[in-house]
Amino acid sequence: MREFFRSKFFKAVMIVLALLLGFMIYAISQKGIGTVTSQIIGAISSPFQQLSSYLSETTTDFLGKFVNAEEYYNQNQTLREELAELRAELVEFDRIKRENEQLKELAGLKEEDPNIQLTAAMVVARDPSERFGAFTIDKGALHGIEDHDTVITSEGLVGVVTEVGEVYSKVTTILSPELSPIGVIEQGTGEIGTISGTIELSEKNQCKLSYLNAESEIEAGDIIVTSGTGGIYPKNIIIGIAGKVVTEDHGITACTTVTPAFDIKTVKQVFVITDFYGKSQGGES
Amino acid sequence: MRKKTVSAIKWAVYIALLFFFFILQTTLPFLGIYEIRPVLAVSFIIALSMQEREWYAMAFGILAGFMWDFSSGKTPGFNAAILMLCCIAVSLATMYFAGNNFLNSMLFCGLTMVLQGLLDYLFYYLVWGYENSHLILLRYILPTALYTTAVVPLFFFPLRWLHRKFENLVEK
Repeated sequence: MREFFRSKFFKAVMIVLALLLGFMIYAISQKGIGTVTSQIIGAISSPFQQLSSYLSETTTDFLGKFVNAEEYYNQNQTLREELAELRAELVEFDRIKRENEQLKELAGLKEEDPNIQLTAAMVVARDPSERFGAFTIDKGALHGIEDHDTVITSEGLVGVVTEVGEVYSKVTTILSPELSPIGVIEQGTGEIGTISGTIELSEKNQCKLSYLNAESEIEAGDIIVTSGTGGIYPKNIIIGIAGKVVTEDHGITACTTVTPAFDIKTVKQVFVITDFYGKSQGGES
Repeated sequence: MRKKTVSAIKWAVYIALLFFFFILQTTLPFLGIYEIRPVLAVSFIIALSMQEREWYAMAFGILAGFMWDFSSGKTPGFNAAILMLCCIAVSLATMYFAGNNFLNSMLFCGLTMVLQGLLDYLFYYLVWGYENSHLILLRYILPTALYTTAVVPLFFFPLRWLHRKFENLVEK
């Protein structure tokens, strides 16, 4: 054993270990920017991951038609019923829309932010050891993506870019407790609060809405959107549907769960918001 | 065939295989059972370390570790350091103490995954004081370790066969 500790191999292991430790400290100081190893691995693996993701998706979709035939039939029946209900609601919706447009014109409101810039991206990799649905997308700094850019789907907020390489970016989802709380507002009552991920709720594809007024008027089913404060997330991005509000143990504030309209852990296509009115430069999430 | 040529071919084949399994582990959702997927790169390098000498084990431990760090968003070097030490230990243990069989490959892989999982849990969840962080350990880290250990034999037998093929090439 003594010979082993005196051997060249042992000395080499110690040197490599010291180098790795130094590299880790360096990597921590480069927060948000992919390190040399990440850039190299990312550049090499990204095209293969794109191809593999495409093949995997195509195969899964093809086989899924046969495996899930009964489930699709049941879904079809449910959707037919929903469609009948929606047709009835559409008539009412048209009336409200016309009324709303007139009110908007009166108030001089802009329907949407004209400065918003979107970049479409594909989810190319998810690590087996990732517990909060974080993923890698096929767009990076070369496509204008920056650290802290907001990531959405057509159905709502997904998360934020937390590492940018030349041809890839890492996205941390709103289910993760690692992400700083996000300022939100309930559209109907105008009540504000913050959204954050928790370990327990992330399993159910939910996040926690905290710091609500103890006398909160938010009801189950209300829609929660981003408030736009802080300059990280644009205003009015849908986060999800509120659950039942309960008072926290200390009795000062209330909280509830928020369920996104889609499964964040299985999204395949996303949009990165690279610019919007009010975006802070180099802000912190 | 000359020893250096065989060695070069062996390195190229092993790196290509590691890369292939790394791509598979990050892109194939249907490998998952209740959201748990195996870390194929770890199963691969543990089985490889049992066949090869400590220098190979060290190099592949670092390479696979950096790949895993990249895909999991961990600080680059975290998994590289853990896997390097584990692969060296596995290679030396197989050379001097343990038999080169699939049961030992599962044991070594299980120990590696549990050690990595505990350090991951300690540095990325426990020290940050997240509420109910033990759920991560029980519902994700340990099942992932179990699943990764279960697939090691799929790598052990082909790699042992491949290693013997390369050895035969040198003799010829």
